[in-house]
Amino acid sequence: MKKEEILANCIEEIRSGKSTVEDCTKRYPHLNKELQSLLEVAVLLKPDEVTPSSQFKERAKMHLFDEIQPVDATSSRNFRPWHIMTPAKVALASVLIGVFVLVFAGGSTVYAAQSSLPGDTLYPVKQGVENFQLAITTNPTAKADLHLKFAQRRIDEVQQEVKLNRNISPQTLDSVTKQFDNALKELSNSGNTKANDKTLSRLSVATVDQQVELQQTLAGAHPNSQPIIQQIIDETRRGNTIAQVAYANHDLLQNQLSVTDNKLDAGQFSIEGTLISIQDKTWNVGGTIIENVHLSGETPVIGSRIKLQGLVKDHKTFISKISIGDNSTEPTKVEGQFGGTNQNGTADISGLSITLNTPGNPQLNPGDQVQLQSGNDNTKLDVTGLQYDGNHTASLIGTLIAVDTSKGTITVKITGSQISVNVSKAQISSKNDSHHEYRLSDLKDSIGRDIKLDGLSKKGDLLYADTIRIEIGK
Amino acid sequence: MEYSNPVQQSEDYLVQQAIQRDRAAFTALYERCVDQVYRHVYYKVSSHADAEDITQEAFVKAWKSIDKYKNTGAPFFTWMIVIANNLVIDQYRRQQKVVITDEIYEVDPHNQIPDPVREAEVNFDDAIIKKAVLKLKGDKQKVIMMHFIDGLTYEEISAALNKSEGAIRVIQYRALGELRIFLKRD
Repeated sequence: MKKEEILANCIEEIRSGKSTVEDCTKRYPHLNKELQSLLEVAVLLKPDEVTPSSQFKERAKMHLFDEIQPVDATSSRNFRPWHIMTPAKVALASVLIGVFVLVFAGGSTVYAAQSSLPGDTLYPVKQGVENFQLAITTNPTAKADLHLKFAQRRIDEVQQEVKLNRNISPQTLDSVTKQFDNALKELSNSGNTKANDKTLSRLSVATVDQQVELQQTLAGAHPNSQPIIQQIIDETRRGNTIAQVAYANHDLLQNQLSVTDNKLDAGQFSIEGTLISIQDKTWNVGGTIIENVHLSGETPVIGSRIKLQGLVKDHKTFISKISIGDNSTEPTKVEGQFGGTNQNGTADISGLSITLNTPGNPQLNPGDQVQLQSGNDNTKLDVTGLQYDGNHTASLIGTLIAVDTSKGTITVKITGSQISVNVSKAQISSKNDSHHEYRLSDLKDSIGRDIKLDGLSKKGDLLYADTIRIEIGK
Repeated sequence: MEYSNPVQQSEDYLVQQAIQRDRAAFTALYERCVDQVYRHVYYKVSSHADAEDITQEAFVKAWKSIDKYKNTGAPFFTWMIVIANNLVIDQYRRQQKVVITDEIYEVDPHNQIPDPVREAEVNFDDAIIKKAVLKLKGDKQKVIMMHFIDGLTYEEISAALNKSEGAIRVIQYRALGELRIFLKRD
């Protein structure tokens, strides 16, 4: 017998428990040493004792189910049954239609329905299949994933409808809102933080894409449709805010979130200063009091200079990121949105109460995006930057992790996901020195820092940015 | 087109039906081999999150190219792992482009949460053996993976790689010899 066959036989005998390495090697004395060393390696080789989680299998199956629907179909717009039915009846009917077509009509009707748009004959079938998928999914995270997938579909439909010069109906906006809000509700019911993180990570990336694509769609839309599309853009932006903050701080998900809540736009802040004290959940950062702080992770050491980013919602402060710097004596800096003057005379900046240095400072109007800095008196802050930011555009803040000068692209990490952006024509500046213009190759020195990308657009699948700002200077 | 209980059908029949774009048949194939595909991918990437992403994508890709499937007599799973392996390579290439940097200045609160699952993923002895297996090139790695990790028989490996069983045993002999050298060096 050849030595390869002897080895193969011995391996099988050992694996089936019929023999041992010693027994086998004794039987073939002429191969003794060689055989023994090879068998000793062979017994080390074993698969990992892992099995995919049932949640993953369910999620992957639903994803597969969704992906295997072809999209080639013609559509007709003659019959609109929901015009004569109440919303509850439409919902019930659509589930029943979904069950009916899945059971009796087989694939072809479902296939054809996938490319239908609101107003088409087969659109209720599409909704019915979606409702059916939701009805048979029990895992909250898998359900959230489905809602987000369907929100994406509604947004894709908006783009298709604009291309076909159709009007966007207010029901489309309702449907987008419902899908996003239901997804958030499901995530709040899920105890699986790891699975939630994956969903939140996907949501944060998808909503950047959605904002950019819808912004491009908006320009070509009929004036009647533009306010609706703008509201959908606003909802995707808030979805992005929620995803980013909740990814870092799961507590946020327990707070009845809705993408229609415009306070989410105003509630984002950053503050940089010395951590003076922490009492209960009240933090004093450089003289500014931050109340009801929710933090996931370790509390920083008192006396250290920190930069906090977060969101104030319903008088709770959710910290999404902490950076710890040198114990420098630099002034306290705050960034956020001016919401008005509180009863005690302090300014409401993104829900934080800030004492402003009144003389010499400009008049602020609610909605203004402001930058503040402490002067000689550490307890009062001056306005150092002011921007009326009524027209929100898509921006992306993340950690720079790679620069490819040959392709003119950078890679940015947000919520655990990586996004590649073409920045070959972008203007690059630093927050600390806005007058100095940097070259793309200079960005390599800022790897690991936060950057903000503005003026985002999409061509094909690639994202482009007009401006880059390095958020934390060197 | 759809039948009552596809899970009980033979694999050959399911594959033939799936080629005819029968979704139920393909879903049944998914049910049959998702665990094996996942285990194979996990062995290569050592991360549950990546294994999940790649496994999910592999099945979507398989559905899209099921018409290219050729029955060689090897289990359907062996075709799945060819697709999964390509995705692992794609992911590896993507990761190589990423510059890992010192992020001491940044304290991401999210990363401070202890993750017992991730910690359990690191077992040093297994990691050294895996590293050695993944150092093997071409058919040597395929044969070792298929036989010891995926649990395929010589007959099935022979059908999958279109080589005689004798040739598979020769490759296995040489691969174990190489592994012995790698493990001594490491």
